[in-house]
Amino acid sequence: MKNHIIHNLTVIMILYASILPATAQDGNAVLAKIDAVNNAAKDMKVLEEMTLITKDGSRKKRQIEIYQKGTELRMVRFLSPSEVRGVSFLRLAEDRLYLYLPAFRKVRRIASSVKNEDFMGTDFSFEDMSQSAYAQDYTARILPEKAGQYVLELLPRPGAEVSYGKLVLLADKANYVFRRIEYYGVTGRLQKILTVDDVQEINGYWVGKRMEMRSMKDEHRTVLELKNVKFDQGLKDDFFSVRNLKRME
Amino acid sequence: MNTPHRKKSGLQWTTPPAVSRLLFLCLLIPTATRGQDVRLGGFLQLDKRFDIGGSDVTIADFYNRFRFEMNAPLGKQLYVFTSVDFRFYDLSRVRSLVGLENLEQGYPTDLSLWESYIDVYDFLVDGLDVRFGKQRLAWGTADKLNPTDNLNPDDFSDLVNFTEKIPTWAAKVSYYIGDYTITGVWLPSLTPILLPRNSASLFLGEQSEAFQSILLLPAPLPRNSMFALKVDGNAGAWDYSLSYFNGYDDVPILREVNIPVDQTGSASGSLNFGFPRIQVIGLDFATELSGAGFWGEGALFFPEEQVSRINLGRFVSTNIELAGAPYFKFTVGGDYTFSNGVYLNGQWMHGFFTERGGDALHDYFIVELEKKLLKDEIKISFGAGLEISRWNKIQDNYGYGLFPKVTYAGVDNLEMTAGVFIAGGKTTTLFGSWNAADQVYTSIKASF
Repeated sequence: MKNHIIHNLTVIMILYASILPATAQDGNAVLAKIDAVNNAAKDMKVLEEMTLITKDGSRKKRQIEIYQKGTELRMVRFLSPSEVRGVSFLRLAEDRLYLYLPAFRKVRRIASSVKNEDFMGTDFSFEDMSQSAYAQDYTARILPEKAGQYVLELLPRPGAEVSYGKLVLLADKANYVFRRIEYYGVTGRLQKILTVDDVQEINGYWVGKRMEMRSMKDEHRTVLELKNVKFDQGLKDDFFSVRNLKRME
Repeated sequence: MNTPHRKKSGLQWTTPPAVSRLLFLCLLIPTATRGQDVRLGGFLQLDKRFDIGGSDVTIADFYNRFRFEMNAPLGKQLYVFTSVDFRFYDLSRVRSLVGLENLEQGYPTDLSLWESYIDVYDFLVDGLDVRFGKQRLAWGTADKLNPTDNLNPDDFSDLVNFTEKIPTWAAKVSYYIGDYTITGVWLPSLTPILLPRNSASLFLGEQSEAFQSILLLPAPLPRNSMFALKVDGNAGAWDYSLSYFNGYDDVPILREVNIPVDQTGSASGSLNFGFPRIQVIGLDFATELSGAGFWGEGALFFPEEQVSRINLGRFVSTNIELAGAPYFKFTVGGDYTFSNGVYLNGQWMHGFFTERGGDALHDYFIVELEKKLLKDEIKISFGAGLEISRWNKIQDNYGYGLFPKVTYAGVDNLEMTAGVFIAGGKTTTLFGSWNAADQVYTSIKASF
């Protein structure tokens, strides 16, 4: 019941915020609403298909299944290619990450510095994949609007464990769905650009079903498409456990 | 098993029994599981090893491997997994004209049911999971160097991957309650270690070929079975477990030397080996500090004293092979991935898998650096190890190992690896005894 009330309040706040004039809001307030929209569902289950595309156009496919609840709990199961099928990843907190390797029948605690690695050879890093809320790690400043979209400059909060020096985030004013993120390194160089398309409302929640992350350095890109998106499946907290991590194979 | 099955063009063929059994299983499994949500998979890994430790480079008699796996979730509570491991070797073992009539000698193979188990979830009560069958029981938080991981025997068949274990038959019960997991395991019997082909001395030391060696396994009695208990918990950022194992050390130990002296004065005899009963209390933890992972694992061994008898005609003497005093093995380590993607892993292990007894435990420092390139298509890793067998005279008691490796995975489901395994040092060390076992290895693995 408590969760239900909080959820309703969140939706009301989002709707109320959306009718406020933009000038009356500061960047952090807009970012909080973007986070709220991005995490409005109580939980989510989704099949993600990733296509890795090189500069010369050759392609590789990856498929993962993601279960998520709130901004902390997340379980990822690798479905293909065959060599990684059954490998599963569990996030219980920022500093409690686990990896299940079926070949060894072992669950290993992994350090959060793994965020510095690419995720399965894609253009997404572990950090990109696990970042579902930005306000906790970044402060936001509003820049001039572009084509009816909020433009926010995000700078890391002191002590935040993020690897980027700056983000520029664009979000639709109508629904606070972010549509583009530019990732800059600590030296100020543009590293990657994420674009979000095919935005749909599913069960009352806004979601971009197609994302493309482009690496500027090698012009490699990864297209991520969401399939079988299911919200509010009633996933319990104890679903996100080492026990289930091993059972997901 | 030299049963001839058919003749063709005047030549007599023999189908190796291992191959027949594999084909039978491949045909049987899909039929038996038709209509269920059955998933099939596995891999084919082709290896080529070159021994470079001697005066000449030679091609090693190493196996290639075909692994066939089937898993079937049968409803919400039941899960079945089976994998078959089929190994075929590079070199023919034909040593006589008669051997030319035997396909198995020409094309040596090994076939084993690698894992085969049944899972039942929420068995009888919520939170109670059981697993029956041949299974891998991986204990401990360290990275592959686990002193508390004593339930499955060591698999030393591949020197390059000497940290592997072999699944064995066990009944495992796990009860999940809050942040705690209580696990009980029963293993009906001991399964000894698996050694590399023609290279047992790498792990057991030199054995005289003039003696017949006999392994004395514990009788298959309930009192000789093995069991273990473990409690896993979590406190904040710390994961920990406390474990107890009551069973056998899987490394054989000398029990008896028989040297009957005949009337001509020449001697021939036998060496009898047994397995010491042990109890192990284990404790491990894993945590994270400032983005770096840290772990520690300790195992306090309580061995049964092992006394060997040397029967030399009328003369009999005894020797203590393993004292009954407890000894402590441990591994501590950590890892970190730097912002440039370089992964660093370092561990200190006190006591190798085959070492036992307080005075026999050496110290090993293993470091591994790894970097992935071109969107994970290329992975370069460099491992290095330093062994100290005695600290008060290091210059005479050190060993070293170098393990560089490069992996190419530019095609999905295909992985090609090339590496070097080099070890050396003083003769008092394990790495020193591997001096002649240096290898260059290549492998190609296709998963499906």
